[in-house]
Amino acid sequence: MSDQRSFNPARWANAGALIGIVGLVALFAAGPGSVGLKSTWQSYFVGFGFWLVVVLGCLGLQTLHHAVRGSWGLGILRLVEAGGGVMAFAVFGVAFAVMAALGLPSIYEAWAGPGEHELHGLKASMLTPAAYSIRFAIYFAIWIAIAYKFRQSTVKEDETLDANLGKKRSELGAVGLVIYFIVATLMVTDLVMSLDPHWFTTIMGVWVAVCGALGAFSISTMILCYFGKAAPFNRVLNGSLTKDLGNLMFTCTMLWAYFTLSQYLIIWSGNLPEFNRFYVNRGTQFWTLWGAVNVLGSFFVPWFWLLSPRVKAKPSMLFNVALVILVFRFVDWIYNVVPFFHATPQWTDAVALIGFGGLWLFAFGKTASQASLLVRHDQRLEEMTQMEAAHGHA
Amino acid sequence: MAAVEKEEPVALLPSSNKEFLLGNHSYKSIDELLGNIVLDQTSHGKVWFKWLGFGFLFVNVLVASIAWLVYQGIGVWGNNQPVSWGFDIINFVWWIGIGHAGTLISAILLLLRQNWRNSINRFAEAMTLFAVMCAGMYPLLHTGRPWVAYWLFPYPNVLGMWPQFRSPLIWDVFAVSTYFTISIVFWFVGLIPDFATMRDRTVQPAVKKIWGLLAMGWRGSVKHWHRYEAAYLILAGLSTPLVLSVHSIVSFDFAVSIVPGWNVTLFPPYFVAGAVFAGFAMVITFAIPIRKLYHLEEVITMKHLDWMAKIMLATGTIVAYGYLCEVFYAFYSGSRWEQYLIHNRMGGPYSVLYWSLWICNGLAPLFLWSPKVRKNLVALMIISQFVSVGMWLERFVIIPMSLHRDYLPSSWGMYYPTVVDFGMFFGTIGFFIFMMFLFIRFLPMINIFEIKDLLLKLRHEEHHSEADASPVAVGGGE
Repeated sequence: MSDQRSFNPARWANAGALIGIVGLVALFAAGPGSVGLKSTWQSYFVGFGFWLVVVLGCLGLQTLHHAVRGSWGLGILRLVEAGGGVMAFAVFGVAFAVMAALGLPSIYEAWAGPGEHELHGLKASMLTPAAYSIRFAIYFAIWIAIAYKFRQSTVKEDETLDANLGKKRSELGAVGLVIYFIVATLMVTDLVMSLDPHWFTTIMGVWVAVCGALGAFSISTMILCYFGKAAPFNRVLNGSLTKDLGNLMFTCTMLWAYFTLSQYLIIWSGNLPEFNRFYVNRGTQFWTLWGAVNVLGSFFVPWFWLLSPRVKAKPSMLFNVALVILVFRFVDWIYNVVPFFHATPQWTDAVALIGFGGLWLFAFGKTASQASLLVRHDQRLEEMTQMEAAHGHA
Repeated sequence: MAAVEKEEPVALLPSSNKEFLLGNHSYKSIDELLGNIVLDQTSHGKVWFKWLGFGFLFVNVLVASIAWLVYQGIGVWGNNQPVSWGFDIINFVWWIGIGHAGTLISAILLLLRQNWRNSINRFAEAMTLFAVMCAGMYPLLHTGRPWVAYWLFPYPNVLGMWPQFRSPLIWDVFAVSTYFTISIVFWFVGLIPDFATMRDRTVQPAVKKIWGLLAMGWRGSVKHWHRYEAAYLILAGLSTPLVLSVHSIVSFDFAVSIVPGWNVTLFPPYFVAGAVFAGFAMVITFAIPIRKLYHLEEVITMKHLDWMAKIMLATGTIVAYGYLCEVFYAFYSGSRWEQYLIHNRMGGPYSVLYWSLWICNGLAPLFLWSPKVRKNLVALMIISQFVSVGMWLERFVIIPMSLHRDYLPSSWGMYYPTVVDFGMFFGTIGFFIFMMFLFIRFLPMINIFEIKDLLLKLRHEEHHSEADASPVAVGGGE
């Protein structure tokens, strides 16, 4: 990779804002005329949901890193802080508010659309626009509070080098993980499962956590590997770090496959109508093919690729794997979400993805430019890199 | 820790390896401390005999129960219709779960380069083997004709017999037998360098010969170590997926059916977490008295127990998350069967067991959030017992409590275990204790050469910290 590449998050923020605005304007300018307003909102949901999961994944990685204090997180901590920080949640909170105010009847037709709805018991009281919006307001408040606390603490520790802050983050991280999983489970129940209120699966909470982690790992690894020869990342990019990141992506890839296969096998075997409708709706030729490609790209390709120690040792190769993982996160998201709406994906889904990607980039760039790109208080990686250089492994 | 000047890195934690081997040890002192447990047969006090005798007593109960079962048939169990799976499958799942901690400690922690596993991996692996033996008895005997259990394997025959490969029970046969095979090979390979140590240290010629045979010509050459490391790593790689796959397949025994409360997509990860949870509880249950009995406090340190407690807390939290998901989604689903199942668990005839489960697995592990509790041996021991009981109750809640009231009220019934059920259950516990105490006496229960390796690393660290004037690297890297 060229030594000339240097990471400038402020420029990313500007580019992201431009892409976000142009993308979303294009979505609503051309979408209603082409695919109809209802489908435009559904595409909005597809793009919004995908990037929200990435934002959530960034928060999850921060929480995990602080809980276990592993050196693997040091090189990417500031990146995931930016990707899952207060700004990112605020931007997506606003995007959610717009969707809640205008788009719910188009997206959640079964319970927010016009006419009578066949819902009973807990679901009848849970699945109303007001209750749904209030719950999301609570989720966003919790995420913002956790993200704020972590960011404030790491920045403060960089200034004061007070090690007690790290210990406190470790305690908060442990509790935060519990909160994170509970909120992620409730969130994905609301966001995805309620698209078909007569269907449910219990594994989706852990599935979405792994999807988020994969998204966050892939983006941060790509940035780290791409700009790894320039400052500041050249101080930390060493064989040990790329190996750790590769192994973590490998583990998450396996977990994704494990959860996905478990769900499929159990639903297929039980063959009960309240469960199997998910796969029955994806039983068309198109979605079967899409599903097969998804399994190939989300599991087999990265899994076999990451088995090789050489791939994990070479940043340029790890970059390629991370890129494949990120692309197939979107393919997987489409497989899980779009069949609730349409028989096939629409061009507006891609526009929404790009638009929300721009908004995420804006939030990411803004936050990343507000502090150093590497934490100063924990220099294990720098020392490791120096040691590798001294031993001639760099 | 006080703040230091801005431009300098700060030491957050001391080097973590130091806390895993205490005292001023040399390679020789480690050989003596750990090797003499086996070589000096006079070092075992009356307590060892008492526990072995206690275990042996229940082994007899087990033998009697099995003999009666084989003579009479499985009608002597409390199984009935609709509860055709009772203590047999509860105990099978419970024991398989207990074995998982051994594999996790040996294989996964090895791959994750966690040095703290060195002191506990050997006896955790032994626990895996004995636990799988206990587990294997139940489905084998439940076949009714254990002498033809080989029919479960696909083999050329003139009977027209072929296993039903769509049944997870057949998957179990392959999963458990693979698990046992890999575990025993892994355990034996790990023992080879220590067998050689025993061979070199023992003075009796006959015993020396036995150790020599077991050591398979080990001389500790570079070539031997190189091949050993490669083989051990490959076995760890093979064992790691088994941690996930075995208990996932056990969960499929239930999840692929349509019984309310069983067709749950979260079951595989939830079962795996439960298995590790139960396994660590059992490791702690053995580690605490053993370290006291054989004065191993410098090798199995409080830090080991603290980390095991943390893993127990983490897996216990996942298990509790699973329980919450079951309740939440039963109500969210709107399915009357799922909702009735939860009502029946909370207020049905076995509700005491359900609430006990919550106390044991939901409430008791919460105390582990406190570092003080994690450092208190009595509290740790008590919590581990709660967890062991809780994990057994979990299987009771899942199996008979789902089966006894299914879709058809006309087929509802109750399940009452018999004396033979209890005899077999306590019998396997006795067998497990019996085998563990034999193991402790006759094989090195702590990995001698890995502790020496830890000592080497410690010395290396000390050397670096003395040579390096700059502060110690930061972070714990747990």
